[in-house]
Parts: sequence; C-alpha cells; structure tokens
Amino acid sequence: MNWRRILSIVRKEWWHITRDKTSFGLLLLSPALALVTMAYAFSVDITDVGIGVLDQDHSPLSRQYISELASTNALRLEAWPDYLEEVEPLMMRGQVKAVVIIPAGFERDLLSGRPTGVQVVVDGTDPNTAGHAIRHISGHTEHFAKEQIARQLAQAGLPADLEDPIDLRLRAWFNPSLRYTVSMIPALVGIVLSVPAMAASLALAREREWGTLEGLIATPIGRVELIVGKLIPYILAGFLSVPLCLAVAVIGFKVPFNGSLTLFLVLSLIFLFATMSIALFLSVFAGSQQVAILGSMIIFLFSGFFMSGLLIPFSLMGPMLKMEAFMFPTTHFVIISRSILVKGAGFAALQGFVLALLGIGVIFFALTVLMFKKKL
Amino acid sequence: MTTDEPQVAVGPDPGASQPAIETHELTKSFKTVVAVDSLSLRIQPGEIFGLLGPDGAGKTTTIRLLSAIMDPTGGWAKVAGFDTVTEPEAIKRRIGYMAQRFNLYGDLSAWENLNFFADVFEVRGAERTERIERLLNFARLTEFRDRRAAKLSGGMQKKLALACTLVHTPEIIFLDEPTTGVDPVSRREFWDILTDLHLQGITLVVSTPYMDEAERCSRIGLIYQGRLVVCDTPEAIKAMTEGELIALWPADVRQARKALAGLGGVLEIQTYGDQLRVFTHDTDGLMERIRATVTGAGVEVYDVRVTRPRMEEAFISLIRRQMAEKSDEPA
Repeated sequence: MNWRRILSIVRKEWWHITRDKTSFGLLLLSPALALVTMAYAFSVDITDVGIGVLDQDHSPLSRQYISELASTNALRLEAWPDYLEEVEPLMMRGQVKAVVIIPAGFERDLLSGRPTGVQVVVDGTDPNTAGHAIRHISGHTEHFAKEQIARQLAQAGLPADLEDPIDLRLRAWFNPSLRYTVSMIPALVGIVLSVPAMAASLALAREREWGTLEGLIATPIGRVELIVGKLIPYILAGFLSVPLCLAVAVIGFKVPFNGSLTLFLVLSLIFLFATMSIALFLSVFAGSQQVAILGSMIIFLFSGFFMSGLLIPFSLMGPMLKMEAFMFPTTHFVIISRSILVKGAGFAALQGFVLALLGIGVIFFALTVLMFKKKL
Repeated sequence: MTTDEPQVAVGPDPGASQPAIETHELTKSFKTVVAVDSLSLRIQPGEIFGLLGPDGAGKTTTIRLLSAIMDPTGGWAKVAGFDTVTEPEAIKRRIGYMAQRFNLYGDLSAWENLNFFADVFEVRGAERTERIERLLNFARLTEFRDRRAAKLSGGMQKKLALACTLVHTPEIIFLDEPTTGVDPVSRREFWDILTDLHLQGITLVVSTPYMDEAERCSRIGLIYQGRLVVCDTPEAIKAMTEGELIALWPADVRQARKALAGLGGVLEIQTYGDQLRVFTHDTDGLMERIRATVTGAGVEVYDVRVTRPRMEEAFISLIRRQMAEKSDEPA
C-alpha cells in the first residue's frame, strides 16, 4: 500500500469534486436544502382542526359546552349549521372534519342529574386528522362532564374532589410538548446526510464513461489504493455538509441539541464511511452514471424513508423487515442522530449502532476491493 | 516453446534474443463475435510494429490483450517476458498504454495530469521534476502546462497522452490509433516523435488504419476480421501483391474502367481519384493494349506508366485473396 499513490488519487478526486463549482455547491448544499424542504413536509403537528356544532338545545349550558370545545387551539369552530340536513354537505365540502350535535334537552337533563348524549360525526377519510378531532372532542367533553359532576356533588353537599380519584401526572421526557418536529428532524438529518453518497456512486461509473479508467488500469496502481483514494475525498465532502444541516435543524427549526457535538461529528464520519463504501460498491457494477444514481437513490432514499423508523415505527415491522432495516446504515444513524440531539445520549448507549456502522463500512469496502478487477 | 522454460521473475535478459512480445494462438471471443482469432506474433525489442487493419478488424482488442487489461479466451501472450494473465502487474510497470479514446483527465491541467501519472508510476524526486519538464517540452506543451486538458486541441491532447505514457521510461509502448482524428501536419509531427522514441530503443506497437503510416514501421501485421493476414516488412508486403502495376490517367475514369473490364491479362483494377491502377502479370505488352482499348472506347488517355504498388493496394489485394480463400473453405 503506497500512501503517496493514495494521496495522489485523493487529490485528483478532490479536484474532480471541487473544480466544477456548480456541482460542488449542489453537493454541499443539497443535504441542507433537502432537510428544509422535508422538515416542512413532515411537521405533522396538527392544530386548528375545523369543526362544526349543531346546537339543537340553544341553552346557556349548551353554549358553555361549545365554548369549552373551542377553548384550546386544537379545535376551531368553523360552522354553525341549524339543521341536520346541513351536516352532510358541510362534511363533503371539507370545511369541517367533525360535527358535534347537541340534542334538545341537553341542559334540562344535565341539571336534573339525568345522563344525556352528544353525537359526533367525523370525516374518516384522513384518519390522522379524524383521530386528532376525536381525541380533543372527547377530552374536552370529559373535562366538561367532570365539571358537571363537581357541580352536582357540591349541590348534594359532597366534597368536590371525588370526581377525580386518580391524578394522572404525565411527563414526556426529552420532548415535553411531544412536538413531531423534534422527532422528525433529527431523523431527517440522518437521511439527508446520505445524499453525498449518491455523488460517490458516480465515481467509478464516471471514469468508465470518460474513458480514463482504461488508462488507469493499465498502470501499476493497486486496487486497494484506488478504492481508498476515492473513498476519502467523498467522505470529506459529505462531512462538510454536516455542520450546515445541524445549523438548519437547531437554529432554523429549534430542535434541541442535548448531546455532545464532537460525538455527533465523529459518528457522522463513521456513518459517511459506511454509506460511501456502499456507494463505491455500487459504482463497481453500474454500467453508466444513470444506473449508479438510480441505484443509490433506491438504496439510500428508499431505505431512509421507509425502513429507518422515520415513518413506520419499528414496533409495526415484522421480524424479517426489521432485520433488513438494520442492514442499512441510515437506520442506525437515524437512531444515533435522535439519541444525541434529543436525548443527549453518550457513546456508551450507542456502542452497538456504531459497531454496526463500522461493520457495514468494512464489509462493503472489502467487497468493493474484491469485485473490482483491473481488467476490462 | 517458451512455455517449457522456467518462469523468470526478473525482466528479460538484454543479452538474450527473447522477443519483447510473443503471442500464441491468442484469441478473444465476445458473445457474438470473435474479435481476435488465433493470433501468433513475435515482436523483437526495438521494433516499431504496426498493426494495420480496417475498423472492427480487432486492432484495439489485440492491444488491450497485450497491455494486460483484458484477458484472452484462448491462447496466451507474453510481454517483456511476463504472461498477461498471470503476471499483469509486472507488465504494467514496464509498458505505456495510450488508448484510442482520450484517456486523460479533462478537468486537470496538462501539468497536473503528468504529475498524477508520475505519482502512479512512483517516479520521485529531482528525476520526476526534470522528467515532467522535459516531457512538457517534448510534447510542445510548456506554455500550456496550466491549461485544462479538455481545453487543449486534439493534437495537443494526443501528445499529452503520449507524454503521460513516457513518464516512467517504459520498455514497450502500446498506442491504439494515436493519430486518428488528428490533422495531417500533427500526424506527421507525431510520427516524428515516435521515430525518435524508436531510435532510443523503445519497442513500439502502433495500431493504425492509415496505410501511409504503415510505411514508417519496421514490420507490419495486417489484421482482418481478427486474423493475422500477413506479418512482414512493408517492402516485403508490397512485393506480395500479385503482378505488376500500371497506372493510367484517363479522361473518364468510369468509362475507361468499363472498357478494361474484360481485358485479358488484367488481374485487378482499382480506382484512385482520377487514376486507374491496373494489376497485371506482364506490363510490357499490356501497356499499349490498355491504351488502345481505352482510346478505342472513346476515352482519351492523358498518361500511362508502370509504377510500384502502394501499401493500400497490397492490403486490399491481400484481403481480397483472404476473402476468396475463406469462401473456398467449407462452411
């Protein structure tokens, strides 16, 4: 292994990467740009869901109930239909996702201690929003119901706090307000950092198309030297976009950074080593640059979105799928990213994942060297 | 047969008359075509060996096989005493290879390209600096040293590519159609450079479709459809053309050719611009008969004389003979 030769390949590749200013700029900025775009797409915190209320009672108590429903910004009163026939057209238009129907006699029943009913019709076409609406309507209704019980107990002369036998105190660690962005964006950082690997997969395919590979394999350059020489500059180029992505996440989207920056940087290098090894392995086989790009898109983006635990939680995956998911480096790095940013995890908690990344990198590096022959 | 001799790890002994390149029934078949068919050659050190043949004849494949960047499907080849399949790296250290396509890095400058290959061939220190300067000079590229290779003219690119093969002072250089696509003046310059290298004792194997370049080689291997049709000095090959040659300048070439078509004693007629070149066994008697026949057909004859066949004619004639033999062979 001749380090001078490796260095000269590194230098040459670095020139290839940086001399075309446009593509170099794209390489540096595209992870951050992708992050911004996708963060907006994936911020699924739902608020202000429109509901309608059909009040058939028109009483002070029914009006009190309605203002309870609208008391938070989870639900927003959008429509006040007067007749039952108006409900369906309202839901069809999509202006409201649910309609609450308060029956006549609501106040009379509640005040005399008799149970009453409230009907809720929900638009089921978007289960996410429907679920949100149902949860909040139920929550508010329960709260209102408890107030009514307290009033009745007070009237009967009994202590008011009987209505709430168990005080459930919930604390969400690391992400108190359970904001989706806090979960999504660190995961997205993990995914967008595999974009530079797509550029690396072009490396050998490009030399083949240029015709320079033919001249290169006629020289005594070693296979290992060539592969290592191509790996290093791409890892470096990918590494340059890491601080940018972190800045976007933390400064732009207010994602917390509770862990060690150094740890994150070091682990991102290992992640890049793993993805670049896979990318180079791909480029040994890719007949053309288009094939290389398509292949790497499938491997990195597809696995990143659907198998890394971002959109589909691991608990929903069958054992086979879970095993496959953990063969991709993105899966491990998404966990690492979330752990460091949100949980402030240290190296000890992440050892297994780091080992997995190193393992993936070494295996694919070895495979690349084995499969790359200096023959046409 | 050299296959019985013990393999020597060191290079060829300069005192011995071991060939620089030797092949035995070298064959390369692809899925649908046999590109190189049982080629057996012996090239001596210090020769300029020309591989001559039309497009698709198998020249590029032959050169790739000899440069140890492609493995044959049959037969063997030894370059500088090393087997191309089992000892390719030993060969690659000793040869230079210039591919048909421009194979240097377009986004690197001329100097950076030379520097890169110097690194790859482990040429170091003062020797390296001096050699790079000398090569830039030799390729007439000193003032263009910092220009990106993609921005050089075609001729300059070829010279740069040649310079890059010389950076490690190889024993043998393979050049695959080095002058294709280059203007005639640059072509001549390029061959002057090759002749210089030849005089320094380097073995050159050059493939070319240009017949006139073939004349500048020590020996020529004529390749057609993957087979070696003939392998000898240019003079010997030209002498192989059957018969003697009469050149005719008629007023109307087509009519004249038609008129001479059935004439007895005529072996072959080739058109060359405004000339008709007639191959015949016996020039003396025929010259006057040709003139008479053509004039008799109403075509004026400006000039007629005996002449020597050129490479091109030899080649076409030999190919025709090869094709005739092939069609006589059982299918």
